[in-house]
Amino acid sequence: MTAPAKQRPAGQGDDISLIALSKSFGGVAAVRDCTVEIAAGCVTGIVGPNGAGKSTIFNLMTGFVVPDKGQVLFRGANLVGRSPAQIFRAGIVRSFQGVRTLGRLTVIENLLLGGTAATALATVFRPRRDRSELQVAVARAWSVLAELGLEPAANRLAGGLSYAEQKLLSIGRLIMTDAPVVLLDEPLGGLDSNTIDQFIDRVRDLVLSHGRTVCIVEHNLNAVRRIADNVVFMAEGAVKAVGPTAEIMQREDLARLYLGVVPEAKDVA
Amino acid sequence: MNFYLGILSYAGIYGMLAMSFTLVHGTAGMFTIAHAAFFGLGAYASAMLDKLLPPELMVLGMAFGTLFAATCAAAVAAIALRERGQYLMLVTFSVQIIFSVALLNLSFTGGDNGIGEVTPLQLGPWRVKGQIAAAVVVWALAGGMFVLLRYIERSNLGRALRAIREDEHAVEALGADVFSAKLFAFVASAALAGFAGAVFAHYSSYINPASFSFEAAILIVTMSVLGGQYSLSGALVGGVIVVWLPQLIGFIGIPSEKVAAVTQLIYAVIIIAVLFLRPSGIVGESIRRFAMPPAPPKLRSAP
Repeated sequence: MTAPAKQRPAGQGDDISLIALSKSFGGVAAVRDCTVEIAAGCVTGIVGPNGAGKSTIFNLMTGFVVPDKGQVLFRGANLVGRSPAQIFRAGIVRSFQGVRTLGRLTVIENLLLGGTAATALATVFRPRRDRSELQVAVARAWSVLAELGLEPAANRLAGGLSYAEQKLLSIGRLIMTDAPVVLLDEPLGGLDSNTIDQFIDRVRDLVLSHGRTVCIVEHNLNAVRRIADNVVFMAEGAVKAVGPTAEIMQREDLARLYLGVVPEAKDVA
Repeated sequence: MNFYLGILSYAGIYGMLAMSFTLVHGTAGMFTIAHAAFFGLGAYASAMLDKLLPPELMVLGMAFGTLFAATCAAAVAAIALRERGQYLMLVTFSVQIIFSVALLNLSFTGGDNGIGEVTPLQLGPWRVKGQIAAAVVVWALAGGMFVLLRYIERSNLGRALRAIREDEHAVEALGADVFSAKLFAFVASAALAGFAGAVFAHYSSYINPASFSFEAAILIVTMSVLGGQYSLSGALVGGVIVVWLPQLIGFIGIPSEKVAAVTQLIYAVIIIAVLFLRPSGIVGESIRRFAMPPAPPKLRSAP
């Protein structure tokens, strides 16, 4: 299952560079001076204890939170200061913690948004273009539904799906977007172990078969081991280590940090 | 007979008003309470321009009323839409109150007396004569508005607006320009309310502040909630019922001076009952089904 870690020179192509990103909320530093290279075409796991700043990193990368300082470089442009919609158009799409399916839209309508939301305003009074974009999205949505095994539920309200199906649907919505970079925020949270197995396979197949760069925040470390090529380890808002998954996951000092064990006296410098 | 036709025409006008409210509230999920004000802006602008324009150019006056309501809505939206939820309700509530108070006290709008002798409906050189023709014209306009709103509702933007209603951030992350989409819904909705106001002014030939008061704003919400707040046909149903209800109460022998109070009471009971028993109203949100596209034909190799 695990793909070999890809090694590429940093800062090229679709790599994303976070440079000295910092963000404080009311005096509490959520993210401190984070500098990370996220390699294109790889799955990068971001791990760390609660409050490490993992989700904030996603919020900073996607424009939902504006950093106090620092840069997010992608394809030669600094994304800081752009709106979430502009960052989507630049090629980065994200999921959120929990289920954020749109309950009173049907399952297929949830998917259609991934293909049509970005241009909806521009096409409203151009019936031909509006319809042709919809047709393309509908055909695409049915194939995504088939991949996800959600075909029978296509025209049911998404709010009636099980929790796991809704999580799957939110992945489907990201696939519909064609965005080259996908950020997944705890995609496995709240799922049982059997479902997680299916889910990991799906995420890997779907996302990688579409040739994307994936960044995943996840607490399930076994899953991260199976899914990620590289791991970024964060604690207390700072990046503590970056490297190939196998290497990072073996380090005892990081395991102690993760579990919140008080460092021994000699570590405290 | 004329009495019933009059009721029918008013039902069409209020149906238009309720449909315009459906766009901003039912589809886009923004609770605004200033729709009576936008209705009034359209009515007053159109009625005042009527004094300056020849009757043949009435359409221009009505178009101006529509645009005037839209412009005012854009100004309100610029302030109110930056924030979420209750903030919009508070701002539109203030707008409604300010508008009502201003109408009562400004001399150039006729104050309490309003504006009389507005030219009856006329389309270019054709005067709409008689109650039958008026009812037909009003319902044709309502039909046109229904078609327009249904198109918007079923477009990609309509779907995006319904999604914004459910979860704004999730849709923003999918690339939707949420602020512009909400601005569109708010302004377009106010424009259509203003248009309904212009029709109202010319149909009734006399307007006064009572038709655009806070009570009227509540009436619009009542129509929408009762008929079905997520449905355009529901809005029409709500408009018809709310216009008919006071007449029905009159018929069952309640003295006319008490009809208003009894009607208010009945509206209150209706809203509470609907919210408890059938939250989506008489007509629920229609679900559009998407069929699986036919499999692509197999390519035949060239002979």
